[in-house]
Amino acid sequence: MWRYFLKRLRRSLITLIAISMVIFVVARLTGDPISHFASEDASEAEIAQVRERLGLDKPIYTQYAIYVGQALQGDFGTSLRYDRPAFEMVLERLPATVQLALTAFLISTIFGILMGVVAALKRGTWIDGMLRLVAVLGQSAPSFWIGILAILIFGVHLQWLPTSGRLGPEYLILPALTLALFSLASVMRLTRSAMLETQSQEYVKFLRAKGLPESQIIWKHMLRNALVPVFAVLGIQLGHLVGGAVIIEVVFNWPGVGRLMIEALLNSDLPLIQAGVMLIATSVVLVNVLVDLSYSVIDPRIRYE
Amino acid sequence: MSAAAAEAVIRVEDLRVALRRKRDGSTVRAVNGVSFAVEKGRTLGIVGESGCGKSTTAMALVRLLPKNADVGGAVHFDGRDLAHESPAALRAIRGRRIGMIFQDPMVALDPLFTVGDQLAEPLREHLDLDGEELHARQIELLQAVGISSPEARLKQYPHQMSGGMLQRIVGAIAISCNPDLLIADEPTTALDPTAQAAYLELLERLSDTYGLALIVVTHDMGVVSRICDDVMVMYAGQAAEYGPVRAIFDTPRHPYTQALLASIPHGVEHGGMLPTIEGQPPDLTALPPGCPFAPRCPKVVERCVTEAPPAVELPGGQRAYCWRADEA
Repeated sequence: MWRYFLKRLRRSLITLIAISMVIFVVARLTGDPISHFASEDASEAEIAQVRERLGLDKPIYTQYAIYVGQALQGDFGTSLRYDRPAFEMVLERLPATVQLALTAFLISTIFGILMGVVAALKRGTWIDGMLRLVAVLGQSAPSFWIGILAILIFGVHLQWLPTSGRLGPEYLILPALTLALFSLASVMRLTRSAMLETQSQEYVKFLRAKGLPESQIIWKHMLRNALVPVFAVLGIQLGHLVGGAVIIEVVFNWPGVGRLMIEALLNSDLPLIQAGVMLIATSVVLVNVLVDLSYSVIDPRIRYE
Repeated sequence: MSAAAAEAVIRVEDLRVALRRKRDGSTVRAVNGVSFAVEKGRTLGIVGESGCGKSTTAMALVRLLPKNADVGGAVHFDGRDLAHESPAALRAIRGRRIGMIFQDPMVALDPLFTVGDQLAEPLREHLDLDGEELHARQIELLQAVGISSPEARLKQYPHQMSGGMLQRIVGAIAISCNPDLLIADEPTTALDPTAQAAYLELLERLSDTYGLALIVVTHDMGVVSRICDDVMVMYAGQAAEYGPVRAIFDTPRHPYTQALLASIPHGVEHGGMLPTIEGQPPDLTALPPGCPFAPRCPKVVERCVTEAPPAVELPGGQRAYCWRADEA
């Protein structure tokens, strides 16, 4: 278990280094970074001075080393627009995004699994048909469209729920549900097919031969076996959720990192973008490690490999 | 036979299983009127080639069949007719009064749970065992099937054990609640030869020690001669011949049994061809009106094709389903 954990952690570290390199390189692909930091009418001498102050006159690998060194201390530079430490700004917005993504993650996982089991058990009935329709909708309709539709129905017409901002728990419902829908659909479909597959397994027949109650066979044995492939994609689902959160935050005016990123993008606020992307990437990688560990808990065959 | 049948643990009469196929609306007549009985402490072998209905017969006894199966006839067990019992009543009998062993031990156990957990399940469900008592019974069972260091094995997962060992675990689960009847469906087919011999020995010992009635489904005449008292030879969902193993091996009266016994390789006969049975078994969705073996039978007469053969009772409790069984 511990060896697996350490191996997994080491791999994550390599992933993070690769991400930091990509961010570093991409930022420089968009043009000479100096153009972001110096005003347009600056003189040659002024530009050279800024270049030296920011270390942009040094060789690129030295620049990367400095960048990493500072990033490790939480220093991603200062936001060009707001003149505040970029990392601090991102950290401020992080709780809102974590709350949104985590709620959506829980909704899609719990309800996706439950609905998948029900669909498999009721295979071929109208219940199965309805659930599969929801799944197809959830996977094919773009989330911004679903979001706007949800605002229109539940916010404007029915006036049941608030649609903009983050002033209380009720503000979380619509954005979290909208964000969850896509993942919920994938989790449900995967659970359904995995449950159907376990149904024909020999060990299920043997469990029946042991005279166990059907409920125990379904919820203890079949479900756990069906969850093995489902858990394998939960990490990927979380990546989808964090990426999707950027759109959802804009649609529902949710004050999270995603909306901050969009603003930063529109303002070409490079340090802010770098800090945001790095933080999001790090959290996705770390959660993936956790998901992988839970995977090895659910399937004993993993632990010894 | 009637005196013996009175003490039978299980007595099956005219068992029929039909599988309705959704795709083309046809019906596969997998088992067509099979009758047999097994007494306490005795072992019945059900033998035949693939698709002859031997496994379906065994599974039909406890109705472990696909949903599209219709069961007819009677399965007398413990004063009841299992062919017409409710699912709840059958569940209470499965694992408790009738234990089962399946063909492939590598897939018979749930890979995600420990061996101990899977062994504990029927003990909790049927006998309400718990705590110390449960643990003691688990150890006792593993010892009974010849597993060393049972304490450590309980905590292991199926993938950490060999096929032979897993089949012993499956056996331990099957006998866990002291059943009256044990049904073993091709119990040694998936094992390597050494493990096969050891497992047959184990089955024999369990049957003797616990006075179990044992039904062994197999395609292997060697298994039959090794551990069975009686044998039923099946062909195309019907019994061809039924009776004590000695009598049937010495004087097979049905041409199919004769052909089957003739096709067993005997020791070292280099260069020679093994005898085979020409042709294919009939289509179970469209069985002929007469004897199903008639198209392949070397002794076929006109009557065989048009009329179903009678059950011919022969001396020594042997019974052959053949028009020409009386001919020596």
